[in-house]
Amino acid sequence: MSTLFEQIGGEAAVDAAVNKFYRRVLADDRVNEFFEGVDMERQAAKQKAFLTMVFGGPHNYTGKDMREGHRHLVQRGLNDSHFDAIVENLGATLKDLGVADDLIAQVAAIAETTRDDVLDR
Amino acid sequence: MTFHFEGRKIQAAQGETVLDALLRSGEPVGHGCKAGVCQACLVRVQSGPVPPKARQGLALPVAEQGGALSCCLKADEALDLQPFREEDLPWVAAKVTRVRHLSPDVIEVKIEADLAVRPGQFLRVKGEGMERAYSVAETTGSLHAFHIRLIPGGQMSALWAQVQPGAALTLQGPFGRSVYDPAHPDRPLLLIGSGTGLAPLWGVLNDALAQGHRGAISLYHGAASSAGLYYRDELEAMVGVHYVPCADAVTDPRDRPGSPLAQALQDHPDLTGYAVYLCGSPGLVNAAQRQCFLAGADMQDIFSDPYVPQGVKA
Repeated sequence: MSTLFEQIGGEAAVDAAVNKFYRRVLADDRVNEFFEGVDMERQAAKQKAFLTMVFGGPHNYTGKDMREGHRHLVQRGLNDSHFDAIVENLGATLKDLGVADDLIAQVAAIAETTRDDVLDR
Repeated sequence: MTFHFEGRKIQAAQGETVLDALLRSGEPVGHGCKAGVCQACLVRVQSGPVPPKARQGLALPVAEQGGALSCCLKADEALDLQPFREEDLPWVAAKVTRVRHLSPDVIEVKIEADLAVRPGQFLRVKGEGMERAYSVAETTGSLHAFHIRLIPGGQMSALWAQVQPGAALTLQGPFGRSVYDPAHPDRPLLLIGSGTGLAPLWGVLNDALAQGHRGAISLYHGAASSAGLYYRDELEAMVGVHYVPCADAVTDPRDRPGSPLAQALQDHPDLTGYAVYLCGSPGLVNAAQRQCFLAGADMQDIFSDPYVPQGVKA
């Protein structure tokens, strides 16, 4: 049985998704204020690392990284509704790319495991 | 088995990655995904085998300077590594060889220094106790050209205003990733800049033409007034380049009023598949990064170095 990461398409899928996903996020008025003024080049690497992780690929994130990386955003009001919007954009991106619904559900489930760390609870 | 990092011997197990060996030895190496994605674990390879995966996704100048991702390097006796720190590049002696005016307040300064630079990158310059960064507009062997705006009352401007051929300076670099990539000869190029932000764009543009670029090339150059649009005649005469001069205060009928970014996006509403080069004030560059991305240019194809007044690079 191949892994989720392999079924989605591995690193090629990350490359295909990263620009589509981040473009959706920046165009989404519910969440784009949190990305004001961020450096595009550094963001590309961060987004790819994030997608690799939620696609079930190799990663080295810990709950502590997630907490520290988002704490300044929580202080600016980041909450469950924003987290939901990001997961929604992630699902819509994968649907655009023709990924099957059951795989999208598995990706969303991995993203869900980071919710409490991201929101610093 | 051992390899070398910053001159120290690092013990590694067979098949172990360089990153894992460095971390186990207590070396303070940055790292994130450990999967060749986040580029946090970049090191400089002085010698030794580098598999293609360790350079996948790296900007051309970084790879050329020996950059490689340590999470994708297998530990090997032949590897001699250094941290990848741009600030460690040596300062080299340089000599001014020519100074000429490009417009009433912009000069071109040609400098001779033993540095291999790509057009569009930038160098740090030290002179009379001050330090600034300038983009390289032209580079031929050891000769490099900067475009410098003379700002009334500017500290470094006082030095440039009276600089003569033969003057000694010191330079460090090259820095920056805004260079032409010959791996994509057919994609359209969109270059947007203001003021002396033209310098790296001029460099990329000429490099693209010299390397036989086949895709369309468009350059939008903005200035406060029409008089500030230097290199106008040269750019208008250039074959294969769509040149659009823009000015806040138009006094020349050939110029379009307003921001070069707005004009560029009006003419090119869909930037899917484009490479975009940006240089100018931080306000222009930040707005342009986002707007060009939302218009369809991919993140890895948007090249910019923010350019702060007085020529100080952020």
